[in-house]
Amino acid sequence: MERNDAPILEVQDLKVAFQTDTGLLKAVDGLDFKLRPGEVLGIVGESGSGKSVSMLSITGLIKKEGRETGGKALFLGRDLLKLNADGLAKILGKEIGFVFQNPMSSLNPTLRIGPQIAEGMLLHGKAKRSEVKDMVVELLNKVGIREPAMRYRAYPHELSGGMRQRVMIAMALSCGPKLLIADEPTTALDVTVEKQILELMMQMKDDLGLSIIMITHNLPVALNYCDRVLVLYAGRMMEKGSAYQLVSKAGHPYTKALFSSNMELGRKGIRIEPIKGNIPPLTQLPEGCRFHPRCPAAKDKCRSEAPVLLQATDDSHFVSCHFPN
Amino acid sequence: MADYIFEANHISKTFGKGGQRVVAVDDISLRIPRGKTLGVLGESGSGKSTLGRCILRLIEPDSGEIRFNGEIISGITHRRFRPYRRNMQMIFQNPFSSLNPKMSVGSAIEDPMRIWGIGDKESRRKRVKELMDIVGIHPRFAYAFPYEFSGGQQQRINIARALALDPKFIVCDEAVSALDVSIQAQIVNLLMDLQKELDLTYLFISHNLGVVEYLSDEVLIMRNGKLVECSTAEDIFLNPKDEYTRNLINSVPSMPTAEQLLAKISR
Repeated sequence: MERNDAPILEVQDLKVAFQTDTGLLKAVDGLDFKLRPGEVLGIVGESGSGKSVSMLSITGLIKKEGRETGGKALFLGRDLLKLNADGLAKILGKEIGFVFQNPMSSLNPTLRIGPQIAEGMLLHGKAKRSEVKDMVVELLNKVGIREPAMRYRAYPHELSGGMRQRVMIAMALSCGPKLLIADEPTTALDVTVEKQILELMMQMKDDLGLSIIMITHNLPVALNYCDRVLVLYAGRMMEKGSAYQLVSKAGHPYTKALFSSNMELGRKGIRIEPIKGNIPPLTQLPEGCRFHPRCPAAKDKCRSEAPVLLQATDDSHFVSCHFPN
Repeated sequence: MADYIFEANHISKTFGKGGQRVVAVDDISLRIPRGKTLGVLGESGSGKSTLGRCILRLIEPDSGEIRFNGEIISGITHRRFRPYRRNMQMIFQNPFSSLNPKMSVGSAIEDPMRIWGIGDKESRRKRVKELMDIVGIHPRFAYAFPYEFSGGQQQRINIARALALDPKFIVCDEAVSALDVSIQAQIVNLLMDLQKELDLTYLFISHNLGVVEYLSDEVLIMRNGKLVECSTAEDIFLNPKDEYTRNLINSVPSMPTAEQLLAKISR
């Protein structure tokens, strides 16, 4: 663990809100984290938790119009939120690679996959025209695509879902990025393929010295593959800690509820006690702690006063709850 | 009464012709005891949804025999099939697209009763309120529209609609797959409680091994249209016979223990 290296990405008090017909929608409210070199950070949350919006906002993939953003997102010291479109275009795809949930809709269906990967490499000056094909074939081989020279000429629809996601990973890695942002990279895949893709990502991290941010709703996936995990709910951080800290001493009732309502194997005959109620719409957030209407341990203070993220069991474990345990 | 409320024997369904031919369901037989749940597990393209649709005759199977309460319901005319139809309902994956966006949820739940000419307006309204109550939606929301509800609430409304005609048998096709983790458990528990109260029989189609294990009495594993194995849930998950089933079970990411994570850090 290279704990003392300067962070690749440092996000400070990130706030994202949107103007809507029904009022100001606070999608992300106070996100804070540091991502160190070689680290895998998991961002876990349910729909509307702000996990995707936060990453799409700092990289400018959600348009600025109608979006109000506060805080800082320092990528190797440069604040991504202060860069204009040209400045971001020089970083995105080159120093920051992306893998999205649905590879079919992220790939251009009318282009063969080889030239599609080559496009970014040529654009960012990572390859000469004469050598780019060989480099792409090499890359396809690296992400585990068999007969890469032949597959170079395949269209996305000719590949299976898992193969397409391998192509997405090849594309994300094609310019030698320092940071890979993977937004639900395996949610659309079958379990047997999911495992292969996650293991490929981990292997690429070790081989290329990447840092990874993995956005997922799947708690077991995050805990198995990430060093540190942020738990988000309705736009706020509920808990932040290492996978070990979350498993051994989760402090937030929401984190605990996620553990107990997870439908993993081996739960037969033991009735699961689900979290009651529903996720609030982001335009009608409750006063106080955002989780209090669904929290089994909510007290008066939780209804009136929003808790802040405080150090819990040790200096790398934080919980945002008035009554953690 | 027959022991098995539902039986299907040697069901096959092929789509396309010549080189494009796909055998989606290949000679599958199943039977479900009254009041029990048969889980159908398979990866995408395994034919599990086609199977579910074939046995309800939403898609006509090419061959095979289907029995409901011991009576043959395959190969009979739609007119003769219709009386059986109300006893079999389906709950789909996407809770929003399975509701008519222009219809209040109360009317959506009432619709099956109106189509079947059950009761008068007043008694149907009363029944709608009962149904909403059963699935945990306050009856005062009967005049609200689907978009006003969250995904989990929409799925509760779909369940209420499926129950409107007092069916005996319900096919759930990935009924909780589109829902958030904290909501999935609510809906699965609701389905299990309703099964006990109303003596329902389920065919539960899913790719989620954890959910299928939790609520199924028996499990059928499908791959490429073929049956891999079919046994009690305990047998399938604790003592899988087939290599494919074992591989499937081993691929599911399990919650790591604190010891495993400590070992990983110190490595």
